[in-house]
Formats: sequence, structure tokens, C-alpha cells
Amino acid sequence: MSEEEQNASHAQDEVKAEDGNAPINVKVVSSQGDEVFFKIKRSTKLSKLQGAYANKVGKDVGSIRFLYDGNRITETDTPASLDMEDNDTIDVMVEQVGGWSS
Amino acid sequence: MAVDIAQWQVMSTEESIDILSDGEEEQELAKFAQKRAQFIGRGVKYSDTIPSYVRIFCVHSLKIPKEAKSTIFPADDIPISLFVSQKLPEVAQSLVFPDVKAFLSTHPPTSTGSDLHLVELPPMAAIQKLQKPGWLEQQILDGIKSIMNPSYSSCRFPLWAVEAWYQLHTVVEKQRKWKDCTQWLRELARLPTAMQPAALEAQRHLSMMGWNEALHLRGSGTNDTTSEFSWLVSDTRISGTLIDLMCYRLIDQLESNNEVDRELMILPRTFTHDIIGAETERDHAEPRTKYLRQLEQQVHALNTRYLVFPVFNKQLEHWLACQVDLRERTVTFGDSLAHEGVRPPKTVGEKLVWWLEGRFDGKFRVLPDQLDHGQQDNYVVCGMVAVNTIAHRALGAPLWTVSRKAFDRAKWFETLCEAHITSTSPPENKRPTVEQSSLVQPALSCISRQVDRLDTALSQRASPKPGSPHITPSLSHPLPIVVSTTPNPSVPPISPSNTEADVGPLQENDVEMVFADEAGRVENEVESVPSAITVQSSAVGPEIRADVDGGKGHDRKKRGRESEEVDLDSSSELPPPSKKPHKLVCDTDVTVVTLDPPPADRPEFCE
Repeated sequence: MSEEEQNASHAQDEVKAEDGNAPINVKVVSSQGDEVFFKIKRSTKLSKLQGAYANKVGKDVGSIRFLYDGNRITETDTPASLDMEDNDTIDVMVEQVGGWSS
Repeated sequence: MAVDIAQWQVMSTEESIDILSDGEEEQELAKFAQKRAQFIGRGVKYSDTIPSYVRIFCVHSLKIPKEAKSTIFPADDIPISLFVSQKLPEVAQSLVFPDVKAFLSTHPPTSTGSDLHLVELPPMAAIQKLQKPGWLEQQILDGIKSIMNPSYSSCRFPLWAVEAWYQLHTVVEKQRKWKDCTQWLRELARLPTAMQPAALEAQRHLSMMGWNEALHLRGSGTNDTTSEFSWLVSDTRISGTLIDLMCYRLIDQLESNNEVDRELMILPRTFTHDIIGAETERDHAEPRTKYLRQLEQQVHALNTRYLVFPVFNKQLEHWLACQVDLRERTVTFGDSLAHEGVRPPKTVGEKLVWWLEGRFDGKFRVLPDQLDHGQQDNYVVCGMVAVNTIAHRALGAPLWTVSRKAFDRAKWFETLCEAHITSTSPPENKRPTVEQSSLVQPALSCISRQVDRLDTALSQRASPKPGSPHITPSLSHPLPIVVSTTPNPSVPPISPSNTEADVGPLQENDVEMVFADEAGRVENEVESVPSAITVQSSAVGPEIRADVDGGKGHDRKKRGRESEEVDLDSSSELPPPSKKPHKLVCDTDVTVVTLDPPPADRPEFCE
């Protein structure tokens, strides 16, 4: 990368850092390891992302559990409220129901 | 399928879905309005490469407007006792239904959709076909303008009717579930057994709690509501969300109890989720998730020895408990089906060892079934037994037995309801209660009568000391039982005699613990003293926490008659009323009167 390009890149990073609501990239990973990528503003509710994911994989959003840092994502959570960073990962856990299916 | 306005657009070469804010969505919709003629009825194919404003228009057309929601669906905070009698649309029972294209119309709607809930719902199978990803969106591009139920073709609804039908189906299903719960509790409350007070208390929550209120408890997340609790008060299988909710209650209790084993940590399902996610041993060369990294740090910082957690046997769809001993380097299970020859899931054991050997020193051994646990007797109760295995191991809760099956469920229901009520807004936010509706007075009277009958029966055998707090032992539950000399001001009372305490203080030889099985057969139940009892006194509600077993619950077997003397602060002396509830850890001696020695075959009570 030339010096000029490096300077441009640094300037771009600074602009992003200043813009607290700049979109970040988030990866949603299923239990099987399948990945879906999203771009979301830091102030936008993650419930929108959850709905989009459910629509994309053709499942009822109510049957999917989304985890970030080991905790369930809630209705009001946003990337900013969870202190998410660019390229962070959200895990998907399909609801399990147990009794005994012999 | 519940779909929010969710949209994506193709970003460069890598497919990335763009989640737009509400304002951005409005802009995109305005853009579509200008270019509508280029896309509708022009043979355009709905695909990932279509402009985002077209996609947003389609998704927006299929989303139920907010104003329609309040008309079509019952409010989430309607008390369960009212919700079960709410009139909901009938569900078509026919197994044969017309081709899904018969649901589509190119004519504009004749209805705003506000009357959607007044006509029969199409079969779920038809709705699921209509909701096949991308199918309806393509029909919108092809020019459909409304949806109709072929059985009532004179009425055409907006396009979002399909989603509304789907959601109405889930409402109907939840009502059916709550009806089952109501019946289940009614049966339990009818039998004059030791379970009756628990059943009555659980019934009280049906009149206080909304049928579908959002949960804000540890372990809950988006879309989790109080309807989740309905799985508890019926003979049905247990969901992972409930397992987590119960585990987090145990974690809370473990964290707040200084007397229990500090070397032990209870973990939620996240732990096994992250462990099972590893594909090879090498995945643990570094902590593979943030959660596992934090857990490792915690384990080292607290010098934790035991990790205890629920495990799901995917093959059998079966819950069990597991313990890791980091000092002895063992992994062992507590499987309620071990007596049936069921082996713990091999993959879980293997992957746990990957993590343990990758992140901790030494070789670990997997031992099959060495945790104390109950034995399940049906196809549905494993989740309850698994949680009890954890509670027994961590907090010394009495071990699950068949005779306390229903009681265990009722108490957990009560515990989670209480936790939910505590976690939600204060009373000034106008939670609808049973007292606010004359419709429920008959039900209220019925419950009161049942409680009164119980009171009368017991008061004939026991006379309370005036002004003294009543300490009633928990029958089995690992969590503290709140006992009030007056109704808890934070909980709207149904009847002044609806708590366990109001049954009256237990006197020597005056109560015999009787449990009934599902067939109504009764048997004496061996009980031990609960791990903690909370006494709440007076209208302002100061709390005393008395650790009755002196902690070390898992050493309970050694106790025997030693349990007659326990630590409790100032016995019946309660702190003076204050405006702020407060807790006291009690440490002076009182005597627990064992009703009928020896303790090995009779329950223990304290007075």
C-alpha cells in the first residue's frame, strides 16, 4: 500500500471512529457453522437483525435463540448497548425441548 | 412466520444483509413509490439481486401494522384467568385445502383487516405454504393486491393477513396450553394433599400475570414471554429456555448464599453450546468464544473446582445434568434415565474433554453416572429432574422423587412467576389484576373458598401465636419460600389466606405430609429441611434470611438429627418496620422442632 493510500485509509478510520453510529459488520453463526453476514448501525435494534436472519433461513424467529457473549439478546439490545465491535459474532441456538423420545 | 421489517441488499461480491433503521426504511419506501411501475406486473423475478427498496416494499406489505395488532390480538397483559375464556377464531380442521393460489387476489382488499379474527382461520399447513420464503414476495411483484380465505371469498384482506393468521394460530395454541394448565392446577388444588397450598399459590398467579408478557429475567431473550411458564404446570416436556431460567434462579441463589460450596459454579446452556460447537481438539488452542474465555478467567480467579450444568442428549431429546471436577479431573453425569440403561451422550463427554485438556492441565476421565439424581417415570419430566440434580448437588435441595413430581412443577411455576413480577414495572404502571375486573369475581371466590376450607381444616388443629412470624418449611424447593404474616404489598392479594404461612404455624404432630401421585394415591414423603427460608414480616416487608441447613447442602446426608439445631437470628424477633425492605443474615441459635422422630422417615418442620 502506498503512503498516499495509507493516509487515506487512516483518515477513513478516523472518520469511522468519530461516527459512533457507523454501521458494523456482524456475523451470525448457526449451530451447524453456517454463517450469514449483516451490516447494521450501532443504534439499530438487533431484533431487526434477528427477524432478517429468521426470514433468510426460513424459520420462525420465535424458535431461534440469539446469543452474544454467552447471553441471550433481548428485544431492546443494540450493537451499541452490547458494546459490539466490527466483525463480531452472534451465535444461534435452536430451541431444544426435552423429555424422552425413545 | 413472524418477520420484522428486515431487509438486505447485495454488498459487493460478498453477500451481506443490510439492516436499515426505521428512517432509512421510509426513504426506501418513498423511492419504491416513484419506481413502482417498473417492478409490479412486469415479470420481475424476486431474488437477492433485486434493489433493496423493492425488497423493503414487499416485506413492508406483509408486516402487520401496529394499529391492527391491537385490534386483532388479545393484549399480552390480560391475566391468564381471563385469557383462557377469551373468544378466539376457530381453526379450520379440514386436512384438504385449496391450492394456495386460491388465497390470492389481484383485486384490492375489501376489509381493513380489523375483522380478521372474527372468521375461521385457514389450516396451518396452508399458511406455512403461503409463507415459503420469497413466494409471497414474488406474487406481490406479479401483481396480487389482497389475500382471501377461499372459504369466505367475499372478503378480501390486506396482504399482511397471512402473517396475522400465523400469529393467531400461535395465540390459539397458547390459549389451549393455558387452559390445560388451569385444569392441571385445578385438579392439583382439589386433592387434600401437601401439594394443595402450592397449587393454590400457583393458581393465584393465573389471576395476576399476563398470558404473554415479555420476560426480563436472566436467561430470557427476545420473544420469550410468560407463556413459556405454561410448560411447567402441565405434564409436558421442558424447553431449553425454561431450563436456563431455572438454572439462573439457582445461580442467583448460589451467588447470594455464603454458606454453600464456593468451589462450585452452575453454568447455563451457553456453556455446552460453546463446547459442542468445537469441531476438533485444536479449536481449543485458544479460547474459542468470548464466553469460554471469561469462564476460564473466572474459574482461575475463584479457584473453582466443580462446574455443574444441564446437558441435552440430542438423540433422545433428553435433559440430564453433568459435573466437571477440575481437581480430580473427572466428568460425570446425573441421568434420570440411567436406570433404563441410557448412557450419557458420548459426543458431549468427548468434546468436554477436548476443552478441559486443551485449556486445563492433565488428562480427564469421563465417568458415566455418578451424580445423585431422581429417576424419571415418564417421557416428559427429564428437564425437571435434571434441574433438581443440579439444585441437589449445588444447594442441597431434596432429591426429586416421583411423588413430588407435580409439586416440583407447581413450585417452580410459582418461583418464576414471582421473579417475573418482581422484574417488571412497579404497580403504579397499572398491571391488570384480577381485582380490576368483575368478570373474575366468581373465579376469585372459588379460589378463596378453597383456601378458606384449607385454613379452617388446619386452624382446627393449629393455633398460631399472636403476632409471631410463621416459619414454614419449604416442602422441597431449593429456593427460599417467602412467608408473610401479612400480604406482601408488592403482590396484589386475592385472599388474606392464600400463602403457605397463612395455613398457620405447624405444630408438633399436627400435620402429616401427604403426597399423592397422578392416580390420586397418597404416600408419606420423606423430606429434609430446605436450604433457606425467608420470612417476610409486617406490611413493610423486611426480610430475614435464615439458612436453615447451615449450608453445605451436598453434605446433607450426614445431618440426621443434627438438623434439629440450626442457625437463625433472634428466632421470632423481627426488625422494626422500616420503609425499605432489608435482609438480615441470621446467625443465632433456635431450635427446630422435629415433628415426629426419627428424621429418617418423617419430614422435619421448624416453628
